[in-house]
Amino acid sequence: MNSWYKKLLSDQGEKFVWLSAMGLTVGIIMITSLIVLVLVRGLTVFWPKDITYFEFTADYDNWQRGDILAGIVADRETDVHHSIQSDAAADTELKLYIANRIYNNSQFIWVPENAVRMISKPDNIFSVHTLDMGELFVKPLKLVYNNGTEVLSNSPGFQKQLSQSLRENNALREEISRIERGALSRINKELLDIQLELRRLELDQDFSEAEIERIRSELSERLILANQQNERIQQQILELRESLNRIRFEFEVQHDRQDSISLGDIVQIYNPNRMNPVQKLGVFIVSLWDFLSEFPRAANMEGGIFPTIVGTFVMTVLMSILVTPVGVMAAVYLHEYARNNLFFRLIRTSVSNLAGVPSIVFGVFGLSFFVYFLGGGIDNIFFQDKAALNIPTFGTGGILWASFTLALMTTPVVIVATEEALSSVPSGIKEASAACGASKWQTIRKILLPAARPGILTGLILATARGAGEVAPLMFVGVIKLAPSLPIDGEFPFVHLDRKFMHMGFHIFDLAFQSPDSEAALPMAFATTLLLLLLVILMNFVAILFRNRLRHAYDQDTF
Amino acid sequence: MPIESQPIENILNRAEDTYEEKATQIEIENLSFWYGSNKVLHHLNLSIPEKTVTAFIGPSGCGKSTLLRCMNRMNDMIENSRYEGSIKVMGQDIFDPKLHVIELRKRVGMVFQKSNPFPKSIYENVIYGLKIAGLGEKSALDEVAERSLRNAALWDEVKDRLHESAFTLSGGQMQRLCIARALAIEPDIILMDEPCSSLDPIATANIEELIYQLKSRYTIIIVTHNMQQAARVSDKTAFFYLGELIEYDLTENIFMKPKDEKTEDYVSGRFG
Ligand SMILES: Nc1ncnc2c1ncn2[C@@H]1O[C@H](COP(=O)(O)OP(=O)(O)OP(=O)(O)O)[C@@H](O)[C@H]1O
Ligand SMILES: [Mg+2]
Repeated sequence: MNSWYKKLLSDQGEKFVWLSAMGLTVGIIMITSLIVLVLVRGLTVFWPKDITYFEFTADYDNWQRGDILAGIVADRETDVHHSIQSDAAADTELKLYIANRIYNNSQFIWVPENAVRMISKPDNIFSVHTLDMGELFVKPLKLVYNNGTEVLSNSPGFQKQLSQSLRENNALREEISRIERGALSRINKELLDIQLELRRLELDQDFSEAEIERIRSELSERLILANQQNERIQQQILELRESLNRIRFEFEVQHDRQDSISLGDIVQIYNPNRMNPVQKLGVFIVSLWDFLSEFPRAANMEGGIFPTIVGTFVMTVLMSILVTPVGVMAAVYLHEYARNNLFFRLIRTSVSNLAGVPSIVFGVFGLSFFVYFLGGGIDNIFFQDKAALNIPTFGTGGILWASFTLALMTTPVVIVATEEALSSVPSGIKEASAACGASKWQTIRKILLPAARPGILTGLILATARGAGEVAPLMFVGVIKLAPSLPIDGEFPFVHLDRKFMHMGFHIFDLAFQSPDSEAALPMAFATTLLLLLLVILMNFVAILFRNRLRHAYDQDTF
Repeated sequence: MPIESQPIENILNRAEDTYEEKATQIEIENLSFWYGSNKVLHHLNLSIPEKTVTAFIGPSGCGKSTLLRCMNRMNDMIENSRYEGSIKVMGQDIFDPKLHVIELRKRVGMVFQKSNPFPKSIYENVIYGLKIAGLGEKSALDEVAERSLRNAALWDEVKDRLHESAFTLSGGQMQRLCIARALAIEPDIILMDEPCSSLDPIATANIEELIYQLKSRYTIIIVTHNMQQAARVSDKTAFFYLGELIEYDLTENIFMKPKDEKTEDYVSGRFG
């Protein structure tokens, strides 16, 4: 009856091989294209591209025939009408990157291909990266010092003068941010302390009138001192800023419009059309380094993502530290001590199911349990005075609670992997250990756990990879789009578990969907994506190396 | 003539070896044992003398391993197992709830059928029991390691590679390592469950020689399926069948003039 079916199966055996090979191929293609896309779009962000002059051959939008525009072709599409319809509207449209955010509404425009004409790659057009005005494409005119001297752009010393001043300015900016992070934040802390002491004085009934008076005058003295210091430092910063602004850069932008900005607002200037590939590579490396090492600016659209790297890294490490002992201990109990009865079978099933719970659920749980319940409780007990002023310490999202939440989320992964690793240890060596007079716990510690270590590490790798890339639950428990300070810094006690932090995954989301100009932020989003991908791959790679080293320490062939 | 094909009477007890009855060390009284509802040992009574080699023989599944594992309470690790009766080791009832099972296992060492070294170095394997017991002095550990390895006839082969993984040893070396590991804790009794079943004739001969050397100091119980081996190494032999002790006597008697028909059938290779 079913012989035709059996025949079909045996006849088509080869075809099933093809089918499974096709499945694999599709998977590989998907992964490769993902990586290539992210790699290309993430890396080209930092490569200086030539700037072209376009001439309008017809009136279009605000532009008139004959207008000249500096830009870079970013995209070219057919049959999609992004541009505002006009007489010149055509099937093929160009997406031009024209920078100059402050002079146009957007850094990108779509124009019909037949409305513009490429005319040249001019020698004297510069790409200017500003602190918070985005990128400018300008024709430089001159540098104007505040003592009146001028250096014209066609004079021989111009280029040298420009780069030297920029270097000096960088040093000045670093000095300012050092003061702001150091002295200024110390004074702010002192001011907050004084405020807290005053508050405590009000609440506390134990002090006598005289004492209150004494403390009050002491505090007001401290307050005066702090304010004086504050003023002095503000003054110092002001002076530094003034010298930062000692030179103005005058230039010409499109429509022959002239403008100037302070050189202090400029981060980087280069002339892509006149650079050879080696020089471009130099700019590429500098930009990449800035991206990795700087704080973000201009609503995260400019500058670097250093805080997100630190935040992601610290959170992931904390999570691993939390999840490992809990997960491993739980697995050891389940595997070695728990009897095989209904209760523990139920627990085992629940643990496996927990791994499939949507991560957002853990976020909500983290918020209500860790942040409000635990954090609020800690505040009420240990930080009463701050809590009385409505300043939460642990009662608000922070890197500690984020790590706890993710640790909770990844515990099942570690438990399941550890149990599996424990099961794969041959029972022979467990018995041998017992026969040598070892107690159960000694056997676990000296034999089982070391033998299961590679498997446990595999579980930890999976957990880490999952935790590092997770975004949704973090939004509840401490991730923010711009954190004023890092979770680790030079200030005592160096690791600040109560601080809010930035995270690469959330940063991508923020750039792509919540920026004022999401199109302009997209390159940054891709660069961040690339980095997140690299970070996860790197962490996995290190863990795998580590695991293999352990595995080779004793060749476990006989298992 | 190779040993394996010699008639039993040629290989029975060496000439210099005349057995005289010694004091009882293990006293098994009316022992029954269940795995769940499956009764595998039936009312066994057996007394094993000290400093002798006793062989347990019998067809597969008759309960030899189970009995052996009762003697150091290895069966504790199996859920739903149950026993009745008593075993006294050196006068002490080992099923006494007050008895510390770890102390018992230090007195009664065990070598398993399948060699099972730990995934550690050769040295670490030998001193494992001592370290567990809390002995940490390097010189003492070194001394015990050397002595145990010498006693297990392994020292010369491994003395230059003590800190290499135990898995680099050959199968026979691994089994001798396991014997060394059991000797290191200085037990009075060594239980061996088919120690040679996965070894070649030369390694087997090595281990048999070793057992012969050890018997002046240890009480040894060996489970074996190899009749020649039982005849060669043991002083006394117990024959089990379906969880019952059929016959227990001097090895000579078991092989040359068995009283029970089943024993005769088994030792002459007619069944089992
Ligand atoms: N862990 C266990 N759980 C349940 N039954 C077991 C267990 N171990 C052994 N048995 C059963 O107990 C009986 C005796 O087993 P045992 O291992 O003692 O036999 P044996 O004489 O050592 O056999 P062999 O010579 O093949 O090693 C067998 O029927 C076996 O199926
Ligand atoms: Mg057996």
